[in-house]
Amino acid sequence: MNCYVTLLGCMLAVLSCVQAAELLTASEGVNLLRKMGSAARTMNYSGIYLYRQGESIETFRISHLFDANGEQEKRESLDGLPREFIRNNDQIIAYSPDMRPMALDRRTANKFFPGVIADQVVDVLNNYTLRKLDTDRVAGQECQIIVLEPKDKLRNLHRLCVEPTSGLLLRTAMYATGRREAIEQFSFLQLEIGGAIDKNTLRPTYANKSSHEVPAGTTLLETLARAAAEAGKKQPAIANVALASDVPNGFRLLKQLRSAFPGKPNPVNLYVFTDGVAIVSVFVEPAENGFLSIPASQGAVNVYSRQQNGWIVTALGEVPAQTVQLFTQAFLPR
Amino acid sequence: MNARHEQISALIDDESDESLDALIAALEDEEGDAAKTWQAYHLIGDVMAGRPAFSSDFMASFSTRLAEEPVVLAPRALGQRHDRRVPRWAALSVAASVAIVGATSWYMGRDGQGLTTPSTILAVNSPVATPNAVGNPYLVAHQALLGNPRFSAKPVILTGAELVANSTIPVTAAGGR
Repeated sequence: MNCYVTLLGCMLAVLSCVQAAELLTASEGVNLLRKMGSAARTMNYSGIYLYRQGESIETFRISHLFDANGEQEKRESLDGLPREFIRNNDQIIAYSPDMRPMALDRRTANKFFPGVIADQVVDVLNNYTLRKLDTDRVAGQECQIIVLEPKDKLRNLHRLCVEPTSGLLLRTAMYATGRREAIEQFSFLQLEIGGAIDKNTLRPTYANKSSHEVPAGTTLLETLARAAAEAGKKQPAIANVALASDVPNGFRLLKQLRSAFPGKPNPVNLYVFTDGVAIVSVFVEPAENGFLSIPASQGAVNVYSRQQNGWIVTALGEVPAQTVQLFTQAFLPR
Repeated sequence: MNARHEQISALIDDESDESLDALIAALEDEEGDAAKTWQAYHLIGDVMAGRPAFSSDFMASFSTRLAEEPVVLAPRALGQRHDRRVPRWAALSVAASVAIVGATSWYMGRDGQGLTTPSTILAVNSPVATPNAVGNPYLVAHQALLGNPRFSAKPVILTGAELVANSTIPVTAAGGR
């Protein structure tokens, strides 16, 4: 008898699970992703979140305010060395004791939790199927579980939990195929949505008055780009690299850099690709730079490097091993 | 030899070094914004790694010492082709190594694996340095540019000028030209 009850229970569980996994239409998906991005930018919220990758865990306190002046935010590390990230709309400045403030690259800043998926909504929908699962509870708040299921084997599965009223992302976890444990996770531990945020609490703790003001255009990339533009108008076109075949399906070029690299005699070309969620970096350099033996995976990141025709191509990203391998095959310099 | 191949050639030809020379020259200008920003980025790397040991004139004194010992520091491969540029390149790549050490030890965690003394940093830049000591510079660059705060805390070690937006590489199939 017990056995039958158990069996019935199992069947019901499976049945309810199937029913609960409601597929989102394209328009529902777009709306949800936009709402999530908008909530992260335009709502007031404050709380503490956890970031876990592999065995390493860190917690941050965040206070986010949106008013007539736009987005203002303070994000501070609670573990290890004190670090603060102060946002004024698109500009984020990092502070730490005994350190000059540093402006962060704008695109980097836009990927901060909980604004993880703010842009590239179309890319997300092209590459992932969105399913609505059961509800869950995160940091005392009811939330809707949304699964970003990859449409092919080139990417990982992401499981989100979204507060339905505001659309704020409360938790996101990334899973590799065949692994039960999330390989990377952000999750609020404590959270208050709405309500007033005291502007005084958003000030940097470690800024001294003399160095508080960081003029616009002070990220390294911006400064160097400016210096290059000023120093030499005759700057030659940066070398492109031919692709032997398409890059893996669903990825598009986000940006490219040519960069000096530590310990390498020749500059390295860097190409950054995204599928809307995952990011893959590809490094192309002459073989005389030397072949570096590096682990095939570190945390959530897979790495693949190959040497061909006097060039070394290295690809890495939070994607399956197969994907980074395909990226190195897609690049065939000379 | 098509246009793409010529562009690739430019990558390894001397001509293409002119832009980098311009960059490096800008960085060497102590009065300029570039040099200050450069220094700031390296300092944050050290601080983020929990090693606020270097004073703000660290790079200045480091460069002086560097100038005194150019042979020790010059990467081997630079020897023949770019004699004229060795001191500059040495300076640049050592500077970058300082950042990488900070970033790497930061990434590795707070278990004291970080390399702290200047002599160790020099070792990192030598051709015989083991990957284990250096970590994975590709990973550091990947995460420095695109990660969440934990990783963004690391210095952006890339030293090249960003390419013009939309000057995309030809993402086409091999037969699709």
